[in-house]
Amino acid sequence: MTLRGEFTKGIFKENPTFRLVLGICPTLAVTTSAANGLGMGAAATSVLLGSNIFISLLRRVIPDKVRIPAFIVIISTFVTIIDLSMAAYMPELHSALGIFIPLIVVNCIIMARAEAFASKAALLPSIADAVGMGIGFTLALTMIGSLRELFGNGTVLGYAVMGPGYCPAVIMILPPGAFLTMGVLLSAINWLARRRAA
Amino acid sequence: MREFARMIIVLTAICCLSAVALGAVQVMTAERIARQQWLRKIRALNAVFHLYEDAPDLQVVDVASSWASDASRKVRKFYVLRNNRQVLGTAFEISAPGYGGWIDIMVGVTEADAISGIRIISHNETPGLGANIVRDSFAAGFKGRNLQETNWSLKKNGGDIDQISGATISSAAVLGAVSEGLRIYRAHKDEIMASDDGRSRGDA
Repeated sequence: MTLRGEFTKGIFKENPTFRLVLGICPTLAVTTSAANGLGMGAAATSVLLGSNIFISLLRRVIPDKVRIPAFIVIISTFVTIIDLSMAAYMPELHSALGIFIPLIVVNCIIMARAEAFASKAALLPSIADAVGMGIGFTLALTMIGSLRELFGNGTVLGYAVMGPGYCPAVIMILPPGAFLTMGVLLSAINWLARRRAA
Repeated sequence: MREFARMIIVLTAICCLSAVALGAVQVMTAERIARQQWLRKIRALNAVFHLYEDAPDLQVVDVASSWASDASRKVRKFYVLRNNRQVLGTAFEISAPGYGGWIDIMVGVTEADAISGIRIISHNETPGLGANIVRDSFAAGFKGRNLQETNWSLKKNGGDIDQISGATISSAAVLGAVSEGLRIYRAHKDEIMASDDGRSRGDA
């Protein structure tokens, strides 16, 4: 596959959220607003990029039998670096995302990319894969977050778009809203993909 | 055997490198993180006390844990605001369990023992419902209240404080914390005012 292909596959064809349906726990939990989705996506993308680079570089050094603990140490190092940097430079976003930043460690998208891709591929394709997958994840989270914020609060990224007469459907910001939005988006994307294939 | 040794060496090396990287990042960010937390507190103090800008002399009084009459609501710290030794007011931080975890509240008290303002520092309440405790309209319901003349319960229970619709638990948690903190403050007011150890004065 070309470098371009490795990059673009994460955005639609193998979108981690809508096509692979991975990392659903943070997806459902933090997407109460577009800004939260965007922030979570950016944090996960940074971790993914760091871990893919190091795992690809070390792929011939790490013995097969201890690869999983080695990956986890590398991933959690990047998660902690992101966590501390966000606390220092983006305190508002850091407190909004709360426990879900440290929980990026167990985000299966990152582990899946390490195990299925970066541990077998050269540096450049691993970077392309990380950035593509990260953008795909960020787009998905921002999309879910925008829809939930739009219907649940009448705003997108904090800007009022529904007009003053709109009565927000609070359920969209509550946990059921996450499942509803995710379900509707998943079926729409499946329908699109099937139409394309036909 | 060689394979075994290699596994140990590689994993140890990765862990050591990781520890060095984390140590470096921690050193680089520690000061900024502490500053952010302090700024957050100053902003809360400013919100409950518009006087603060004229009162650069801020004294922090540590509270003996035995003062908390109820283990679930804890006063964390008292801040005494002075201007040239004249006390302008007091603020305290109190925590109470809400619907989704601890709610941290900053409460400002005037010299006449009335509330000058409250501000939610942090919370985990439900977005769209309990999270509305951060709204100014809710905080405004506490302004000017004191222990003697206020019926410290929610309006729907016949009290004086407006609740947030759909968020009775969160509203009641804030109300309970504020009134409890006010009681602790009143009971220990003399001690708080007397504790002038000079240790933390002027470091605001």
